[in-house]
Amino acid sequence: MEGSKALDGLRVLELPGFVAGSFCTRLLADLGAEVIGVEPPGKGNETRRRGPFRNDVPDIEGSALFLYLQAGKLGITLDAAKAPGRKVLGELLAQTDVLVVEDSPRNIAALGLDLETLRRDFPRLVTAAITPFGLSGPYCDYKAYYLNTFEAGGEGYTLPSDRANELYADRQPVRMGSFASEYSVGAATAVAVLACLFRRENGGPGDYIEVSKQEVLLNLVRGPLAMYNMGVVLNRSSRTFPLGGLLLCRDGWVLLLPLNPRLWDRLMAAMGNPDWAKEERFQYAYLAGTFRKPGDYTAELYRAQHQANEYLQEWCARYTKEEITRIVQSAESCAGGVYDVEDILNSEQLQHRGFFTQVNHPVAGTVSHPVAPYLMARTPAGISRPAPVLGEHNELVYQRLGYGGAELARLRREGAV
Amino acid sequence: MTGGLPLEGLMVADFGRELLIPHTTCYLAWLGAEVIRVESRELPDVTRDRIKLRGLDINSGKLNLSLNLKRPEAVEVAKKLVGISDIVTENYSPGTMAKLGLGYDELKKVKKDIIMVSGSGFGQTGPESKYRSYAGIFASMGGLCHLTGYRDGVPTELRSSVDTMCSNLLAVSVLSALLHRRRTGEGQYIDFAARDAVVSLTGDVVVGYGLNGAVPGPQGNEDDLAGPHDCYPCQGEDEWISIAVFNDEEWQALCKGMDASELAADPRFRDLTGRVANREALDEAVSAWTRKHGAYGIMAKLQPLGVAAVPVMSSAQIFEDPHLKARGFVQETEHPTEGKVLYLGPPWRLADGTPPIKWLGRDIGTSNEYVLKDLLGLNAAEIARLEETGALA
Repeated sequence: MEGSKALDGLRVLELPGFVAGSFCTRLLADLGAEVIGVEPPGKGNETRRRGPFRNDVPDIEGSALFLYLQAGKLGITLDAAKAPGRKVLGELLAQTDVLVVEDSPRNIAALGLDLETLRRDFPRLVTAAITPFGLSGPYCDYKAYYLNTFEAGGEGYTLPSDRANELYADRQPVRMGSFASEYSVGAATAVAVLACLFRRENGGPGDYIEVSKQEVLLNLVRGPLAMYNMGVVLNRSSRTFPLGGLLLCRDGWVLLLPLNPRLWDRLMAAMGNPDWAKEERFQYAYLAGTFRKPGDYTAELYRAQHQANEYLQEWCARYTKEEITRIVQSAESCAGGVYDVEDILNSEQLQHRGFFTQVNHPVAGTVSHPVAPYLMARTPAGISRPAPVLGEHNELVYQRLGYGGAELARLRREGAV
Repeated sequence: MTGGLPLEGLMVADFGRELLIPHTTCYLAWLGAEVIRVESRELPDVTRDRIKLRGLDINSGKLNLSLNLKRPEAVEVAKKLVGISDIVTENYSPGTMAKLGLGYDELKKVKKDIIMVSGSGFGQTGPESKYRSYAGIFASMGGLCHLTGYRDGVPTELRSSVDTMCSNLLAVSVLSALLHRRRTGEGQYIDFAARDAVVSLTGDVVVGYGLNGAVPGPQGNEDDLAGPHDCYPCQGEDEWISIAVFNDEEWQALCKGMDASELAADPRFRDLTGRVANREALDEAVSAWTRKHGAYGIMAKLQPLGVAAVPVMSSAQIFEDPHLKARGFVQETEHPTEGKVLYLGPPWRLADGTPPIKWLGRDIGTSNEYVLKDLLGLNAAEIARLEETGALA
């Protein structure tokens, strides 16, 4: 079935949230689901108010974050907190397979979207309720924005590590960049949603998936966290001195990762087998090693490690990140440039994978978007339409529900739409 | 099939190693699938020797078949396994499975509707497909390191969550393929690249570049729509609290919690614009207060006032955290050699609850009899023959 979509026919309703819920349904939209993104009337989603903006001018139709998250979706406005809007929400849910809501437990309950109500009224519905700390427990009503959940998620305590920690050991922990952790919550949610849909296809009922952002993030680092069982509490300084690691190069930074003796030997070969590397104090077994005990560190070892890195640094300073990546990787060792968005857009490999596509938005114009990291041979992912203008599909969606022009106008007057 | 876990009855032939695939199949196992890891004693997965507890955790609930795929007899067994499987997962370096005779084209002959996913750093083909990569490399080449760090600092090396963030996306593609097959009977091949996943997880930056040419760098913990918005030092050693204030109401509430009426009245900090413009002074003022208190105490004080304040939690705090314990998210099991092991629950809870894990990761080949005899129907003589040829090494 060439050109078909994996999730053809799936109907998804997304209520206004932040990034996590939006990215969850974005993934479903890319694979063919019809996703209706609900937004507050008049002002739209919170993400519309975040830059970067087109031409640096704040505009609810020009937000990169919104344009990316909502690409491929239909957009309607609805205030489900008000009674008339609440009724409409029920009508929408009657025609929905998947509901994704990202909010506080209180708000979710206030909208009548708790497990008992939905199970009773919409037994085939698969609901994902995303909250900072889950729907139960002493912190469940605590307020947490993305910085808070990241720092409670296990990895926050260990960043930055390596060179940045060496340089700024006294500074505060720093979070992972952009909204990667929020996106990850969305991705994990999509995994559970798809699994429940599979069971439903096999005759099972709907489901109610409770997603605690904190628990998703803890799962991302469950491996390192498990070391607690060995009596090891990882912190920013846990990893010992990195051999190689982050190094300056001619046009930025590069990461050298000679993580075992073979990779080290090949790195030395790539560097033309320098004489210094033959000295005994620069043999890999002596220099490297992670998670060493503090007692392993002698002043000599420290000096040798720093000197070795100075030699590596000298070499890197001569080349660009692209050159170093190519030279070292061609020698079958391990290195990677610290790329910025321009490097990424210029990447030959990403272009080879067809990773980018042009999306034309009526207000923001034509912009390159990432497609998906998976090339699915029979059901390729793709972006079917640009992000919606605020309320763009009100007529379409509400007419489908049976609301004529006059009725829709009334809903608008009531502030429900 | 109304009760039970969502993926019950599904079988996964898992040739994966290290983290990217094993974390994905860990989720599939939690969701009810029967995951059979294929591994050779001559080439054990590094998570077995390097930091054992990590491997035990990630590979919980999975079965273990020992196969030395250098032996043609072992490859035949692998094919038989695929013949009764729904999904094949692997993350060998690109081309390896095909060389072993286990590429998608071959496996499709064994099972027409097989779903196979190959995970790699950069993809199965292309100029960088042979690049050696670890999490740090796809994080750096995917743009995430450049975006992480202090505003005036060096980029931050990342590793811990990078593979697993990518695993989430890999699982999405596998489960979508499963739904497609359920409806159409069609399997397919999926070529997944971890570096691409990192870019997908920061896709707004790509779109932002197209909108205004912005090439963002690290921003620390700052947010132009918030102030205070950072991690602040607390009383204890390496103890911090994250505080995020997005509007004037929350700011007044924070001042009340800090007993700092002079700050509440300070014209520099009265509105968001002022708090963002005077970020340094603001952070100093907040730090002066947080330094005098413990992080959990600050959370207990500020949350009832509606202020988003949460400790920066270490692993020790996580395993002891009252909220996570109350939720049953921290569980305990007994391991034959490691003794008592604490482990964390899955990233989601379904309506029927969270079943405990069946067992922690097991040794190579511990499920040989079950797989070879019960699942594949081999008799004792055939299994003995496989032993003799070294196929089960």
